[in-house]
Amino acid sequence: MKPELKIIKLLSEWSPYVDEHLLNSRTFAFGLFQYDKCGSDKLYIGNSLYMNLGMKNILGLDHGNIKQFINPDFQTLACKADTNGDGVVFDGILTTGSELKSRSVQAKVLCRQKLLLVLCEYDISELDRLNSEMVELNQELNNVQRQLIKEKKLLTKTLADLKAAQSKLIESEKMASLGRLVAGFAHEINTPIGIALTASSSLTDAQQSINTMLTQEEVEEEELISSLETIKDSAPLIINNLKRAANLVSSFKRTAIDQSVDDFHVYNLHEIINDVIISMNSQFKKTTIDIELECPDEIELYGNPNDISQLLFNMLVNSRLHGFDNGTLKGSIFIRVNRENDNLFISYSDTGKGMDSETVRKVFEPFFTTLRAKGGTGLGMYICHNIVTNNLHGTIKCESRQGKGTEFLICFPIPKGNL
Amino acid sequence: MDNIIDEDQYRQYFNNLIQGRRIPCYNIVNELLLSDFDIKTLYQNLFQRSLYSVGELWEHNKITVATEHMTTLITESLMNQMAAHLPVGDTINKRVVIASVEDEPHQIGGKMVADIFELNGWDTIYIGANTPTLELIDFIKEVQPNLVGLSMSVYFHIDNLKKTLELINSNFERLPLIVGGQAFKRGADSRIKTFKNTTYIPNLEALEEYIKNFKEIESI
Repeated sequence: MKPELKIIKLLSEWSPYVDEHLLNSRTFAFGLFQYDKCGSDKLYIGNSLYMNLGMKNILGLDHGNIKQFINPDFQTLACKADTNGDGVVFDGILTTGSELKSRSVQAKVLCRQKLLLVLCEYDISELDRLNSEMVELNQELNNVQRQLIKEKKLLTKTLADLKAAQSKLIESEKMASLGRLVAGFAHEINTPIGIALTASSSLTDAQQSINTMLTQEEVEEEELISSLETIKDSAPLIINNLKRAANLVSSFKRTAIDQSVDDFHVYNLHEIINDVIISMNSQFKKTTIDIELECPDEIELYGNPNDISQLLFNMLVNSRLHGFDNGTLKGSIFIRVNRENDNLFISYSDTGKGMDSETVRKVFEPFFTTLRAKGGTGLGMYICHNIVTNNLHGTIKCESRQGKGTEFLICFPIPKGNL
Repeated sequence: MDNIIDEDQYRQYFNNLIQGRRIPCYNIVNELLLSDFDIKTLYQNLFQRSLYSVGELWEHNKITVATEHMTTLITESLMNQMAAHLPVGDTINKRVVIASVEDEPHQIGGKMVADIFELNGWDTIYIGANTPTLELIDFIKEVQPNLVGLSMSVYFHIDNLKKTLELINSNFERLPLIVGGQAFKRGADSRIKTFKNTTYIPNLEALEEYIKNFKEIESI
């Protein structure tokens, strides 16, 4: 009997059980396999009785091989059939081929009298391939996401380190500006002390002349008068200049000393601004730059006067350096203070060179400087911005035009603790 | 903190995972992290355990391969979300390259290993699944790591692993290697014993121990 006839005969014995499944399925491959127990363990051997072309393709060999059943494998199918008896052994995705090159089909496996009928309904290999591709792409996406997360973490850490370094730099810049302030005062105090010293030398000389005259029998009137004149002139000179020095020391105490401590107290705004101007005298006196201050005498604020002095100090330094080309240009600086209700407005302007729009845009950025080569740190205006926004809870704006000058407009609420 | 995740919580996680519900899974992971469970415990007792169960379900045809892939991807995305909260260890100036062997499509195990190295301050370069052997060799030449880790989940890739180990041994005489993955549970470790400088790492505890005692191979 021809194999085909044999299989038809075999299949006819499955009827009507198989008919029902065959009629309702879209079978493109089918094969009939027999299995047998091998030894006492649950091990099974098997071979194919018949396979159509589709089944041969799926199993990847002309004669088929039960080892080509991967998931479920032939052992699992045979074991299940042996245990459960006749009926549906498997209904699902059958993977065949080898671990490295496989294909997947939607399949049903039926059992009858130690025979397994495998019906492959449709090939889902293409779907499987697409699925694998999608998985690969998803993995790639996942890996990129992972990489991004790690990079972000590193950047966050770097940013935190940078911020810490920036705070340190700002602190050291504050200390450096304190040093410059001290130097300014020292220079200022030097002048009255020098005058007082010269005057006291003249006083000593005059006193010695009078002493000498007292030992002589005859004294020339002119000589005596001259010495007395010297004493008369020197004494007030000494007093006035020492007073000036004492005032400067007070100024210094109000500004420089206050900068090193967070001391909150009531202070007079006019006095503080004036002290800053005095402290800058050494830098401005050899220039042709006028500084004009318009500030009501009676404004008293509660807070740390260091905020105001540091703010103005930095702006004055910038005007001299940038606006007036290191003090070589002629011009004026105006500091105008107004109080409106609970707000204080400070307008600081100069008639210097002004800035282009790009510079204005970046003027409050940390480390932005047009004089890096000459040692500028680019922190001055950043510190000003911090003082106004963080310490004084206000705003600072910069307006400037090249050739016309620069104006800073500062506005902040008068502190609630103000008396 | 003991390393046992409550069975009910695990079941809840597993059920959500198998049904593709990422957000509840993420919430459970978050809860566990807040309860001071360490990364290693979550990796082994939650991710690894659930994925092994998923693998078994697939082998028994209880779930489709698509579901298996979905659970893998959800787990990977959970690991990524966790990575954002992992502390960055103090760097110790050592570099490791981690890869899955050629043709190996699974990569979660390798990622777990990479994360543990990172937590220990290593500069970690994770290459990913299915790394072509020759490209791996070139990459090692380029980045000069102190260690290379190879992951293999499917036993059938043993020949690729052997080929890779052979090439690394001959190109980099003093480069230490670690290998691991599910395939070794089926006896693959006995087949790599002949390779130089190669250590089989069976789990994350053994990995931590290895990292702690890591020593460069001295020149002869």
